[in-house]
Amino acid sequence: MSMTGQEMENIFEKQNLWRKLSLFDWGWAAIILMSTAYAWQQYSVFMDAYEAGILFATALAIIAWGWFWKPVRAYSLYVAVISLFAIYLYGNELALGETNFFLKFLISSKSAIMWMSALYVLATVAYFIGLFIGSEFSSKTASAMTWSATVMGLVGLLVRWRESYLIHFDVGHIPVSNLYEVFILFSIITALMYLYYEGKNKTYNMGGFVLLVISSAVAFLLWYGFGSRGASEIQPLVPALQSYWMKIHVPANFVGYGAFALAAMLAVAYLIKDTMVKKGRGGAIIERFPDLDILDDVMYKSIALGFAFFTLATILGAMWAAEAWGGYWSWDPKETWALIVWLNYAAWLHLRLTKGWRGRPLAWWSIIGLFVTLFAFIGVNMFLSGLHSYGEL
Amino acid sequence: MSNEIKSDTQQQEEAPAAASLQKQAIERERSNLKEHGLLKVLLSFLGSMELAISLFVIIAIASIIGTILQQNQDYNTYIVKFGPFWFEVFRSMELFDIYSSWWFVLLLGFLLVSTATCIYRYTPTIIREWRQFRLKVSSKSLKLMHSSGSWNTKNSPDEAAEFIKEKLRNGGYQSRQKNEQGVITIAAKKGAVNRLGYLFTHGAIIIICLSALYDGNFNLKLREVAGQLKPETRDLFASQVPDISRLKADENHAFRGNASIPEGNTTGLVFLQMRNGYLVQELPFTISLNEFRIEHYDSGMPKSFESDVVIEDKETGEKISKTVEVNHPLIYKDFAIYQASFEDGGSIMDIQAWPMAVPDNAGSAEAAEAFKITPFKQVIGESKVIKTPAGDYKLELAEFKISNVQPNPKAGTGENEHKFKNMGPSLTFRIRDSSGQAQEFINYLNPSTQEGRFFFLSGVRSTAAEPFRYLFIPADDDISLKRFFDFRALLGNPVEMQRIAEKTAAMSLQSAGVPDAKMIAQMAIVMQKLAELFNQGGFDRVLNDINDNVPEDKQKDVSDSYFKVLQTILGTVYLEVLQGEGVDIENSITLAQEQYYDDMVNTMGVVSNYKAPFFLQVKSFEHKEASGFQITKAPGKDLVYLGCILLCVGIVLMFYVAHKRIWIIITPAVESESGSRLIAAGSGDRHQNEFAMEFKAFSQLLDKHFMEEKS
Repeated sequence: MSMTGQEMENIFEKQNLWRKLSLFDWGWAAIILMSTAYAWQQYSVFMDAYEAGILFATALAIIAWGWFWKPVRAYSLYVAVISLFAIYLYGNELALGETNFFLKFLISSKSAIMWMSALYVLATVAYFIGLFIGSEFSSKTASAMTWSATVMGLVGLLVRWRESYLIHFDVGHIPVSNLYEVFILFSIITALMYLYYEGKNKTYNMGGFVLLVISSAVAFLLWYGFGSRGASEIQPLVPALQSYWMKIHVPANFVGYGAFALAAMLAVAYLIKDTMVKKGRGGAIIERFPDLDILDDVMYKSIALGFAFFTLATILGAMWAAEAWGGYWSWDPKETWALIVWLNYAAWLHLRLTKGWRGRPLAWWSIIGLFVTLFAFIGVNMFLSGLHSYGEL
Repeated sequence: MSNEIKSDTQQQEEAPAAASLQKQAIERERSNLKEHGLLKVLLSFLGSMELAISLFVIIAIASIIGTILQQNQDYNTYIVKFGPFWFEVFRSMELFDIYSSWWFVLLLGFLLVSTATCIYRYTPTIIREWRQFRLKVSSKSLKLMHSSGSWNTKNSPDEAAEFIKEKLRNGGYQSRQKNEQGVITIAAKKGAVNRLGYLFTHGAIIIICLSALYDGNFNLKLREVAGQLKPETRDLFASQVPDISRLKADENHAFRGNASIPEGNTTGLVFLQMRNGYLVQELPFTISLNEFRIEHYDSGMPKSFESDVVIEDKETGEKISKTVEVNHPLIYKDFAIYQASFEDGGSIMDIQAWPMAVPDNAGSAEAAEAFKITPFKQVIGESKVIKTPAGDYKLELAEFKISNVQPNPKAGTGENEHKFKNMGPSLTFRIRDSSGQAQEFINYLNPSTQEGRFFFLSGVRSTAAEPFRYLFIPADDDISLKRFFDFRALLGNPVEMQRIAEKTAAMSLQSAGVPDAKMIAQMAIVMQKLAELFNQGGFDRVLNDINDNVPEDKQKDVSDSYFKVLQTILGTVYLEVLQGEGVDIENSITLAQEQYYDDMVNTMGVVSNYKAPFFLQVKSFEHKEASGFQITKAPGKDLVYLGCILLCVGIVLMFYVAHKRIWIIITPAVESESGSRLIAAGSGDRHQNEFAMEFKAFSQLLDKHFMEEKS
């Protein structure tokens, strides 16, 4: 839970949630509710009961998210305005993506993803410059670029969603169905989680490390999506994936993956700082690294969050499997690797919470955890066959 | 887990009060166990964190083996892969069915026992932690805590206590108060449900594992060991499977089986896979497949498939008609019926086999006559022996596809706007010779267009790893193969060829003005020989023959004249074929017929690479599909879901509800009667940072309040 100093002071005053909310908070809720009502009025005929449930639950979740973490509101508005503009420009003509200036160079799905990719890589560099030469300006620029990249990434996904419907009504689907799409999702979720902790701990100096893993994801994305494989082309869904479950199972999973990746990168920073300090080589650069306590704490929080979402995602996956494959658990390689990842972080949490481990051993463990997670995420699709063979390389 | 109490040193430093209570709990437990030494050792082993972590790691590693080594494959596949020795080793370790192997289930059992032990040992402490306020604290222990402070106030102890209790209430704390000889102790706590998180998560694991075990096939394994069951490994009809491999409808409380039902058929059985064999499970109802439907995207990828089924209860005769779709199973009583797959349900092919092989005695009239195969019908998946002059061959029909959609190479060129084109139905089959060697073929039933002309396509390859090499046979005026094979048949008929050769030789020599009977006879022999060579291997074959038999300096002249001669006889043969079709060859040969000759001659040139004794043509077919269902009974499912909900709730309680305690001891001030002295301290358990901030806010509040009152 995050609270500002002001909120902390008020904690022992008589109050309740409703009084804590400002006019802005209510305005935020009103905008989301009105948008949801509009979506419902326009599209309810196409939704089944589950999808209606998902729509309203998402609306409530976004409202709560915006109350909990205020920058989400501006973020959402930017994303909404740009995405709607792109959708407006498209009209019903997919081919405009090649001819319209705005779409072609800025906000068609592919262009937006390109912008996202470029901005994340630049932000990584800027964060490291900020860390190495102690330039606040560079760090702030990096932060702004990360925010912008995250806006463009989500715009890219949302516009892609619309583009899939423009190809053909039958083809339309939420863009979380192949590795290209989920890598974008992974990048923006990891970035958002990082930005949350950046704001909360008021330090820019974790940025480079976290953005490093996002930049790697971007490199993979470009190779996989725009290289010879052409995975950036929108493909229709196989029957097994045509389910509302996909809308909740996949994003929940990527909150987990993103959080584990974040934790691992913080662990790298932790180990570097710890080693250098112990060797007595803590120069100005090492000084600027975030406090070991902060790194350790954010690493724990990130893994706890990841574990919660990963558990939820695995359960949702089991429920979907029960509906699509006829059994909630089949020991399919992807399922099994999900279990392995889960056991790994369960062990990590037991060691920290129960055995009271801190610091280096757990930092190492979370770096190893990233490799286990990566294998579950990509390796299974690359090397093993099974029911989850959607995002094959 | 009790280790939590023993080894969390940090917690002990930060919350000595809590730790001392926990120590008491342990000591109580120890004294309870004193008499049962063995039990004590066992409990502390089973409940130890070391065991739990080790089990996590071992189970994870064992699971990895099962993802790398493909599970439940045919045993022969494993023998080929690992050799008989390692196969036997792996089999005895049950590595081919790891997740229901004895040792894996035993590991899971250990995890369960370990978790249960932890719950057993820790529950009393949790409940105390959850419910008790812990009013027994001393000023000394409070001062030792990380977050603590003291204040002096002019307020009386009661006034101060009232103020503090109100503030704590606002902050979401519940509090209890104790008055002892004028000293007020307030103990407050918030978020005590955090403690329940432990019970929920660990209890959930037990519920999930036990329910899943109940839904698994463990009971079948037990019965197998007891000798009551034996998986069948032979490929039998369900009705022939012996009783020892059969399960009655009421004999099995949980299963997951497969059934493939062709359209129009009914079944009351499913097959349960068990290692390399299967069991036949009877159902209390029958399923009839009325219709199977499949829709495709433009790209040919399946978009949806569904089956209209009728369920009939074997006991009551009650009938239910429903459509089963991917992601939309049919739930009937405790059973769930899933649309899993689809396959050929025994489509019937009406086949014409055209002779292709040029046998050793080719050229004899008997050979030509013997090689006539009457049209026949054959079902997909079945095989048939076909006698040819080149030997007996086994024809195995492997797969029939009703459509073949491929990316259209001409897409977007204006000529054809469609991104994909459908090549129509195809038949994949194998022709196996007497030595067991097989070639695989794929024949497209409909001709496809190349530069505006129609060709029949047939692909051939020797192994599945190779790509198909395609033979293009031109389609005649009736879009059929008849003319091509008539032409081949005529070329292969020595009697006819002799007649044609003589006729052609006479005609060509006469028109050249050399009507010498001897020369005509000689030329006819050359013509017949060249035509025979051509029939065996096209122009290449003729060329090779020249290269082998003619001196190098004369090769060019010879080949030029030979090819002229060959073209002449082939032309005549072609005209005879056309005549046979009823074409007026004197006056009305069409451009298409001329083009056909060129295409046919080209094809003849490569036909020798198409190593088949006959060419298979599917004249018509009866398409029959089978729908693959998975039928399951999983009575533990709801319990598993209950466990899942508990797990999620537990995790949220553990991670996101902070268990915080604040104690305040208010003692009357010694020097003045109205004032009092406060000591406050608190702990945030696993959320120390957050609590430290909260306690700071609390301290500031007290600072402010008591400061104001001072001034």
